[in-house]
Amino acid sequence: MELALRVFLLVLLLDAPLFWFQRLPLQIVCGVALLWPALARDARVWALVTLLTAWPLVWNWPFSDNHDYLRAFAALAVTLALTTAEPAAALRTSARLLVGGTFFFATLWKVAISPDWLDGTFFRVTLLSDPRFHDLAVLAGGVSWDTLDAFDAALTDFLSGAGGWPGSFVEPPGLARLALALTASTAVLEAGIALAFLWPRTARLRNALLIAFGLTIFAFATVRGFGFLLMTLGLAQCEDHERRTRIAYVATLFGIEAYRAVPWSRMLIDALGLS
Amino acid sequence: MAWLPPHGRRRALVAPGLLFVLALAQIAGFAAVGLSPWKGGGFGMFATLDHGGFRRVRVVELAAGGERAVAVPEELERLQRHVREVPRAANLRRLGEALRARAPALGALRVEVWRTEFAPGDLEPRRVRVASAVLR
Repeated sequence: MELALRVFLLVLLLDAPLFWFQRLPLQIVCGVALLWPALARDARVWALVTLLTAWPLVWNWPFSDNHDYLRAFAALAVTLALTTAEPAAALRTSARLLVGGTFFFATLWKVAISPDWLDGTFFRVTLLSDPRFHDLAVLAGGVSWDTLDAFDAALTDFLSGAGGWPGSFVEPPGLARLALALTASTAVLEAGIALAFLWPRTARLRNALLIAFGLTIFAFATVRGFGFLLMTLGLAQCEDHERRTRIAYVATLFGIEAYRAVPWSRMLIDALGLS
Repeated sequence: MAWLPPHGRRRALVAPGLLFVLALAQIAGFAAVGLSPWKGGGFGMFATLDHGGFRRVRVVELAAGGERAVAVPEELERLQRHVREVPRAANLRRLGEALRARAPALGALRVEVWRTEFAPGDLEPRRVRVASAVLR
């Protein structure tokens, strides 16, 4: 539990809320708690952290991202765990259910509510329109930069009302195949994580699935705050004897930071002559 | 019940319970008022193309000679984004009232929020109205 608390404090320091007046008080509290380990086990400090992570949700409504909510729930879970007779066990339960709940609703949205996810439309459009996925589209979808530029220009005109939609846009065949592969693999992986973490008994695959999610999804979807939180919660739900798994979670957390910091996909594109 | 933690650790269920309640409320908000699937704590991000980038707020003045588009000034940008993410009728009217407070000469206004749908066949986009409100 000590390691999980310290890592969570570090994550809160590195990925605090957007506005300075929300970020600074949280970073001061987390920094002080990191320097004085006794404070990191104090429920009152975590109650303050919960307050400092929760009030931006109200202030920024409705603009907060989903991981901002998860951050506040995780801080609340630590606060309440530290008020029990068995804080480590209580935190394990909370962390497991927070991960399970996150992936349960993520899966529910994708397979049951969203009108454009199961048929692959979401990924076909996102690979073409979201710059975070352009490298993946080029590397694995056979999409050219000219195609991405043409789609972007047409979409910008359409959304601004400046123009209609050019009927001549031709979707590269590799893009649809990549989109379907991403749709299927994401659905299976996220549903698997939801099931494994909501299942009350120890599931052997639980940690492998969450670490696989961290190592694959965040290679391109550079939402580092969400990845950090998921790895921290994964770490917090580990049993005492799972030492290697805890190391794997921490390593994956730093791997997520490396994905963001190192332009590895662009370097690969250059090396393959696809730029 | 075997799936529940022991009595002394039941408070471990509070934070996950809040996550479930809020996520269900977010889905209800989406169904009732068109709340953006990406916002509100329901974990609908990266699940649909219905997000802020593909939504548009449009304001038109309803004049006797026809409709005229009204530009939303920069100082109302945050309110405009709020309307885009939570297109409740009350929010749409609030934007209209804010516009009229800055330009009292404006006549009746219609505030609309549109999202973009993409055809599964050729990805051709089309606009779909999410909400609208008229301010007389």
